[in-house]
Amino acid sequence: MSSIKINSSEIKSIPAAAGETDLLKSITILPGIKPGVDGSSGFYVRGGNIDQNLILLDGVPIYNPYHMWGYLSSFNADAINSVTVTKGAFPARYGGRLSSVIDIAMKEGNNQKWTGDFTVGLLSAKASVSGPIIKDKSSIMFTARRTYADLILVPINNKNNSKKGYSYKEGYNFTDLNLKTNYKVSGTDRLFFSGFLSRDKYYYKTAEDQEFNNTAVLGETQRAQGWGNIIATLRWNHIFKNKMFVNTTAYFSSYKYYTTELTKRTSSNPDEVEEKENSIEYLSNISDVALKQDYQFFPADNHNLQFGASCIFHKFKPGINSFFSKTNSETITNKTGNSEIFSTDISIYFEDDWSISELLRINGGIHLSSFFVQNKSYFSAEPRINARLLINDKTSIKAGFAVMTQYMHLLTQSGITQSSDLWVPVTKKIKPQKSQQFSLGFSTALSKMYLFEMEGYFKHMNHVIEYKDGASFLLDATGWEEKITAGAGKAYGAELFFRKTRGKFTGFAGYTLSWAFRQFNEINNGGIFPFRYDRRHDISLVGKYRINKKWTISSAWIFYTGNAVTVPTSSYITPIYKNSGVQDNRQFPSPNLGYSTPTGNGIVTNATERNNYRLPNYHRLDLTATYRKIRKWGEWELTFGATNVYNKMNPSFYYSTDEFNSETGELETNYYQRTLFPIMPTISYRIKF
Amino acid sequence: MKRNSKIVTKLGIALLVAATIFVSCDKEFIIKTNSVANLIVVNSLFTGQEKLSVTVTKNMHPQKTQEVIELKEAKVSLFENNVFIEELTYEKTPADSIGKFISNTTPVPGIVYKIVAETTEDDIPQKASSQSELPQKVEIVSDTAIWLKWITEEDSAFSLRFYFEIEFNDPPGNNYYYISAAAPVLKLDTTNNIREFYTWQYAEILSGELPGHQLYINNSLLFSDATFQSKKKKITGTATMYNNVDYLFSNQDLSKLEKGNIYILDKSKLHIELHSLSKDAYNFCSSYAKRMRLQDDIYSEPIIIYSNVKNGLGIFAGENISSTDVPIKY
Repeated sequence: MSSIKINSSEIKSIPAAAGETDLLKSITILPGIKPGVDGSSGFYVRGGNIDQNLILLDGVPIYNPYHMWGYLSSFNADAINSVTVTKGAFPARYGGRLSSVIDIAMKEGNNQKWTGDFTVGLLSAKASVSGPIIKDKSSIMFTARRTYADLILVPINNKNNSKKGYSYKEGYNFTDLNLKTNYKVSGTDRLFFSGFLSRDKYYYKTAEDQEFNNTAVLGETQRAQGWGNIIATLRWNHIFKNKMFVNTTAYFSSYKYYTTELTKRTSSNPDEVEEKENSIEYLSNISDVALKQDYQFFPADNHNLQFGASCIFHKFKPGINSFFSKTNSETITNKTGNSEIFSTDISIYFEDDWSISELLRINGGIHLSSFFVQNKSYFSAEPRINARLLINDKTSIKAGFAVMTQYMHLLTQSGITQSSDLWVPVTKKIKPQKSQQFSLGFSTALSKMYLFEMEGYFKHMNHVIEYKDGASFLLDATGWEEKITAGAGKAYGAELFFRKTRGKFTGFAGYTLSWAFRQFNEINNGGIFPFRYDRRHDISLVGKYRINKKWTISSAWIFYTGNAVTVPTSSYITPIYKNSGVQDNRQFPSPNLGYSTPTGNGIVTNATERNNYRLPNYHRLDLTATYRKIRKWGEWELTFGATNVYNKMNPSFYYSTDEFNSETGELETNYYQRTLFPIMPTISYRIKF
Repeated sequence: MKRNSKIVTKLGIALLVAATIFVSCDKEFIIKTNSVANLIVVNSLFTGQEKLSVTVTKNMHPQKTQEVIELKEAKVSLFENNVFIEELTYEKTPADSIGKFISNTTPVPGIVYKIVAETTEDDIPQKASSQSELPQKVEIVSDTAIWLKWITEEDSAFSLRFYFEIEFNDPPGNNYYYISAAAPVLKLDTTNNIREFYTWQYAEILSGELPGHQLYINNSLLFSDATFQSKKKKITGTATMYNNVDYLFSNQDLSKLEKGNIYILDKSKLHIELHSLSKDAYNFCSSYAKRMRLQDDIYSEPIIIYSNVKNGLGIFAGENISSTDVPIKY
């Protein structure tokens, strides 16, 4: 169960949010994989952090595969052939992340005939076409997806909010494109090219006619936020005569994030306007250029050797703030944050999948890697072993051990994971993350239709990073290295997976019992504390019932223990008060002139430790029904349903506000939880030919 | 067919209604009472200048407005180097809003002081304890203060800015400090023509010499000796303080002013204090200072106010204070 392969049709059978089939959301209902809170991107595997998941699209890492601030992934399900999820017992060919590898294989173009697939959902429309460029020699597959809500709703919204002398524009859209082509050069050589582009953009613009000193002035405000990935891959596949083939791959992968805010005043008489322009810009990006070669060799029937090497050049721009201000008297330009960091990641691996006997099979190997950054180099040797022993023709026992090293970190806040989170490399000060994971599992086929798997794991992690207590993403101008601290983590648990793979009714039931902790010298006063996604129980029940050839219904019910969050559970007096200690006699008689005590009355509200409180348990039911009609020219499908059918108010996060209580006449701190996704209808219409 | 059409219409309406619900929802979030830590709160930042005293109170629900609950009946014991010394007695003067348990011991450096607070109340753990030392006093070896300028703020309040400089010898090992500057506030009773000391007004201190983020508690600066261990250290900075009655001069005839009390800043001297903090005191003050600095920043990570009280909350830690009154040169 350390590794699960899911094909495109299985992904599509899981009820989708807003009618959008979603690869990454689908895998989060597998045992051991936990989604973040509603509205956040990313997922958490066996107590690991979000950045410990290596997401590969045709072998190329992708850094932020999300649209809509994490609501949807940027992978168009129509472009995906299959996905292999590895959570433990990692083969030696994988490296660079501690917790999981999500290896996504894109579909190849159809080299015989042209096919097409068009879907319109609540949020977006998508299209895919596939066909031969030269029959039996070359093919192409192309998919495109775009939100269209902004094209319809935004003009209406803008018109409603605009008035004479005031114009208003606000909108959001996303786009993603996939392209894959191949060309058969000869019987032993094939060339592949694939490209991926995703882009999200939010914008807000207002323009207002104003008047200063009897002069007409146009005041403008503009805000924008955006992020996107670009991937381009060229692969050459060559088959040798002696049972060996090689893939040589060159790729470019880039992720960019920006947010800007601009205020501007223009006038026919420029001297009348003192403040002319103010802008603030925050930029962050990472780009990779890489070359790798992977060999596969079958020296004997019971050996499958894989070996290879890769070299990746990374360029990081982790969070640069630019400030520009123009007035009548001066122009100020200021840039703060970190400059570019260049690094090189070199790795080699050797792996043998060896069937020692009919009963015993071992996959063993080693992954060696070096990382060069800021005139410092790190080296890592990572042994991997995974054994499977057949007890009988239906039952097997599996055991695995893997050492993993990670040279990159994602700086995320303890609140919601955002697109603005920074990818940063290890540096002179920040060491690579390391993990050791043991897993032991049992698998049995109860019949031809039923499969039961169980696996336990223990994972220890070193040099995981977190923001220090009080570190701030915005107000704190300190460099990122000063804001973070390194510590340790451990996670253990058991996963149960029961699947029904055939018949009118198919589906699975998954259950995870798990624990995950962190310990940092500079957080929580050095004490161990639960990881924010330490979820004791995690249950998923997924079913698909084919009523007849036309109607299919699908359902998914998800339950997990509430997240661990830091909430004040104590309220007490501190010595920084007029009765004792440091601030003795500090209160000046006039509140307008002197200093009151920091809390006003010497009382602080405090959490007893980091992540000391559990949000309510999360659960929801998603249902969809699909009506399918086959025609001579192809088929069409109408899918409708709802997510969170019984409208459970699951908390995404909580916040506090100070409010005046008219009954007591005092200022009170009140807490609220926000639910981002109550019941939501889903509908989509699909045509396939 | 007609029937199907009706079903589809009804379904469409249902979806439309459901779509209107697609908005985020807020709901009041009540912290479960059983999650609220029922603990004894022990607080004392003891010095070498006065007898050791502690306050003993009870933790409260963070969402409920209530008076501080004192544990007046608690048994509070003081130990020196783990040897019992005395039981503290509860006292509350009319000026105190919270009473204190007072000892007969004035702390001295080199001794580990331990406090044990016991209560018979059923709903909280019956014993909490903490221990700390008084750090060595670090003498100020030289000082200067110069008046720099008047500042007029946008809101028309007046401020004074002073330049100051102090020098001290940092003892071996890790040391932690807190520096504050204050000027006396005089109370002028214009009815009875009386001038008297009223309180200290503490200045905002800015120092460009200390690396990293500077932490403040009510404008006074917290720092460690991480960058100047065991060396002579000079701290220079500017101290800014507000002045409400700037037109009043010391020789002015008070009888000509409106009758009543007027509070005025004495601009003749700057009172500078160098607090040598124990590590526990520094951890507490810095966590508190961070909380104050970032309490309105929704992007900041949570800050847990440091506590060294076992089985309880609060802080029991020592600080030793050196002070100097520096005449301000005009």
